[in-house]
Amino acid sequence: MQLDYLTAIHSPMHTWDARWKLAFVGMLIFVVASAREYTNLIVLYLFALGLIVYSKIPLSSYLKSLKPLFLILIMMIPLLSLTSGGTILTQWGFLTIYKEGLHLSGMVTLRACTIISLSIIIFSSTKLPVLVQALSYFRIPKGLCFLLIVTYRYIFLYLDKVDKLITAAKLRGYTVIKGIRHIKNTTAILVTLLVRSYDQSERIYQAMQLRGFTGSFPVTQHFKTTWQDIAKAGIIFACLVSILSLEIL
Amino acid sequence: MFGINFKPRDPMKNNTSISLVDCSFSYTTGQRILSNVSLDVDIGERVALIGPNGAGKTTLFLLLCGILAPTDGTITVKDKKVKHNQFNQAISYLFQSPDDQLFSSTVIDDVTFGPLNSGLTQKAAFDQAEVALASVNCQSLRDKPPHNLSGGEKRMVALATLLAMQPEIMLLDEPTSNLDMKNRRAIITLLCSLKKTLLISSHDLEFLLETCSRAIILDQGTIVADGPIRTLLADEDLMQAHHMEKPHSLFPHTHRRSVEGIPRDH
Amino acid sequence: MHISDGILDPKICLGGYVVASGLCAALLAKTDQRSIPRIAVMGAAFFVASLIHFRIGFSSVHLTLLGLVSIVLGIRAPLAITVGLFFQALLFQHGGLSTLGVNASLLSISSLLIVVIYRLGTKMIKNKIGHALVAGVSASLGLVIALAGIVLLISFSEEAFAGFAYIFSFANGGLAIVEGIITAIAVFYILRIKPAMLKGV
Repeated sequence: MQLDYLTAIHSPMHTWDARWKLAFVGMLIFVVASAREYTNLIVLYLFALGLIVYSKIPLSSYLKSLKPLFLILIMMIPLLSLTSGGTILTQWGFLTIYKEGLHLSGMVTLRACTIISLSIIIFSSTKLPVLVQALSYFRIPKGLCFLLIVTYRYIFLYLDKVDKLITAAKLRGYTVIKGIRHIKNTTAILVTLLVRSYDQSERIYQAMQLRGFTGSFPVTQHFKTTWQDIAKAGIIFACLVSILSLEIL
Repeated sequence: MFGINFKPRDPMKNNTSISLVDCSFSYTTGQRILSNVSLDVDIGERVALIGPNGAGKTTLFLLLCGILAPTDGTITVKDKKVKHNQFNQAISYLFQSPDDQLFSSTVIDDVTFGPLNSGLTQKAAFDQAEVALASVNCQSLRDKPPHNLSGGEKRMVALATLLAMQPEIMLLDEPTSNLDMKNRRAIITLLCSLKKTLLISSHDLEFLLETCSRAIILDQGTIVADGPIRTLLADEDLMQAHHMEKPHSLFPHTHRRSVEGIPRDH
Repeated sequence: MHISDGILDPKICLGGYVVASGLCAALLAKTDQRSIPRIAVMGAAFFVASLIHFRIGFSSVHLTLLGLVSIVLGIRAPLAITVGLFFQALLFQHGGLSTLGVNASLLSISSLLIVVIYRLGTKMIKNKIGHALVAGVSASLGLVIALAGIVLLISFSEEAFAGFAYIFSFANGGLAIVEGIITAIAVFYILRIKPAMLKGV
């Protein structure tokens, strides 16, 4: 799985204590969402790009992750430019392009690209169990942490199961059928997956009970702050403060 | 009923690990799964539970663990009556599918789940888990997610999750199913080395012949035979009457092999 | 059917997180912790199920399954929904982290409405086809309400977004109806195989 490969990379971002990473990159995301000046947004995007390089994330995988955003933007930019109202830039028959629409499109594009880049950094450089431990440190309820861990585990199992179900169906002519038959058959595959998981959830619960599960969730934490963690946080904090002050001024 | 467990009992010593007296079980729909099942298993005994599908083997295991409650009769494990939904750490159950049993994000988290729940400190739990992983030769899999393991590895890790709780009795449901020869041999070696009471349900009769000394045949919810495994499994008529076959190794001509490796036909 | 990053006012994003956390905390407090494994396993199944492609017309769509997850998990569905959105952000890396709170809140509120409509509806109607129809209608209604929420929030963030928001909602309105139909078919099948699944966790 691509995520397994990405989280196994060795970079300074990967070795950054997950609690500090989550807190400071999280704050940076909030600052990006609040930014309203073009120059600040561009600086923030370039900073995020720098962090991507710092995390040694391959450019190809980064661009692949941005692809769906571009597909949305291709639809959103024209729609926004044509419907926002306000100052008219140009008119083309019945199509009117507004200045505010274009301006907003640019802002949204920059903000979205930057926020997605920062999310990619967090998720590609932290394995899920460690991420959950960090969340638990920030007082996210243990029940929710346990929910995250167990859901994650079974997502991959069910991805395989669905693959097998669809392959078996294809061998019986599934892709050829169109229309209402296709909808009925696809729904049947969906329901099969859900019913099997319902039965399995019973057995998994029994397995947990037999290993002493009574409702409390053991979450182990292995964090230790080093000066490098604080230094990395300091860099992000400096960027945060500068952009915020530029925004306010 | 064929054969009685004729191990002489010392009336002064209580050797019994598991005891079922006249147990029956039916679902709320009325469907009867087990009828008047009585059996005793001694400490350290390795018993094979065989029978066709639907005979009630898994139900029997679930009753022994306390997951299901019998509609009639009593079940005692280590002299304590088994209560519904109250779980005894002394008894553990290996599910047929390891995916039902491995639910954490890494192997080590799964193996420490049991010890942590039984109140051990983190350090003690991790130590116990490392010992369990070492006993199944899976130390290298420690930090791997269960999803990335092969079928055989999953089975061994599932065993480790149980061994980490240091149970005295283990119930194993089809432990060699879907395993290749290498992993099957590893399971046989491991089970033969354990000094625990084992109750093993399996269709792999050759495996049972190697690991167990006693067999119980369950068919349609009742015990139809209970005795030394070689005697029971060698009885062709008995096996066929309950939709099973005599294992090949118990046929006389397969006991000896020619030097070239081709079985002689006698 | 969720709002992507970069559009909403950050105060709304934060508000979304507050509402979603409050809802999850309240639900967790009222949930027997022993049900958590079941919610997790079924949540994983729903997550994967929502990736299955349906060929409708010329395009291939996949559904939110909001209706089904609400009916099967009952009032505990918001927990699975929130976790599902988190994993969408994590596994697909297409963003959604800043708007996780808002999306989770919107879908959770719709989910609870679906549960109410479904439970009330099936109290009055007793046959299988009636159940399936109620399920379909409640799913569509729930999605329409979620869409309305999306439009309101986007327009509230920035007035200039209003036109875009309306077009977005009409495009997705058709999907809401399609989901209703598929939810109805799915519930009909489940009633035949495993009716106990529809009683909630």
